[in-house]
Amino acid sequence: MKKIMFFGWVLILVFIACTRDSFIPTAVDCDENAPPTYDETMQEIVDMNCSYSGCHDGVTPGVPGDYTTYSGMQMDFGGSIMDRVISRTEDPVLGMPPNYATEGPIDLSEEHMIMFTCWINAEFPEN
Amino acid sequence: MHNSHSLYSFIFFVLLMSFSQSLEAQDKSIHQTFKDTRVINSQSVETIQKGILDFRIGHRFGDINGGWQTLWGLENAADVIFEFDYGLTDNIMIGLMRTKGSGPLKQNVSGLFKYRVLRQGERSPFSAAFSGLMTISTMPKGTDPGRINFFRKFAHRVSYTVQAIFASKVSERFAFQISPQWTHRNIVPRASDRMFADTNGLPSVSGAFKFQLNKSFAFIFDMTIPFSEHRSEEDEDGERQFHYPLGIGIEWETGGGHVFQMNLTNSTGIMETDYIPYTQSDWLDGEYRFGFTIARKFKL
Repeated sequence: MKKIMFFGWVLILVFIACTRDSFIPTAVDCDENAPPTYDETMQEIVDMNCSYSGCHDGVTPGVPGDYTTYSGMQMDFGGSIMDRVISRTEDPVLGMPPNYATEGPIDLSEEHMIMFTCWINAEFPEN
Repeated sequence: MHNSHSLYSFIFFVLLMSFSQSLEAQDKSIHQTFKDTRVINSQSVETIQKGILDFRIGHRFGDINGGWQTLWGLENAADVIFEFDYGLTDNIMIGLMRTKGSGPLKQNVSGLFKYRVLRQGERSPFSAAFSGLMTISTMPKGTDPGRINFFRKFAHRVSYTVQAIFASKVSERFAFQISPQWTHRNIVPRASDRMFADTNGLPSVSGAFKFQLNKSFAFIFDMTIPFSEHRSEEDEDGERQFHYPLGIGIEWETGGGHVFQMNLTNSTGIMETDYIPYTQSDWLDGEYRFGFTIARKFKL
């Protein structure tokens, strides 16, 4: 009976790892001729995920970068946005948004992740 | 954790507990409803005996319609499995396996748990087992978020199948089984102009039978029907994207612990987490293949 209990708990633990996520199959959507732009698409996504009050809003102590404006983000176009948002996205601390975020999401939605990727690939068009 | 998943886990656990009492009660019970722990694609109701290690290698080759160019598929490997199963008791087995993977998730490592909760005998007209399978893809992380191997979370590498298996040996020659199943993939594609949408949870049912031809040879058959609105969607040419995995085969017990199985099936994947959601080959288009499994038991 102990063995059965053990394996029952293992099964339950296994199912704790369940998620119900989806992705938009590629290609779609990095249209090189019409990439997402800051003004049309990205500002809203950045406001929602990055520059809300208490994070990259330009006034919160200890949080670098003012992402409330395009010009404020430009200092990180060199690579850190790519690095933190895309490459290290699984890192709970360095991956942005971080898992310790309390006021905003701790992960980008699949759709926002794709928009970020396409925006980065197109070298951050403003409008 | 989603509430629905907690509920499924809880129900599964409670069923496991409630059936455990019945094990002692079976006397003149029937053995070898099936000779192997798998029929062709599906798990059979059988488990490995206590203290026995079962090592098996299985192959699914390329489409037979490849003709001479691929030696009717034999020069291609759609999927390959290396599997170790071990009997913890006469009714509980665990397994560890590596598959090449034929669906979008490759280089898979799977863990299997199977518990035979009821044995056909004087008190029961059928045998029953539960099994749980967890598969983790170890393929390299990609950089394109539009592909399944972007693996934004580790959990996206993981998929599961749980099933209940009910089997009956009707006569010395004939046995059949029915297995309701639930497959869960942590990430699936959303609808786009390139791919159909899919659902994370995918219920299905498998049916299988064995007809014993003589002491050594048996004819075996199995088929799985997944239930999902997306399984019947057609592309622009009117072709269905998904097909029901169906296999026929011959099981040869060569004696001394060897079981050799030869089969023809349209499914390219071997594991439940692969062939149930991802079978896109159609028997009617010649998209079936030769496969085999060879198993050897060792007493530890």
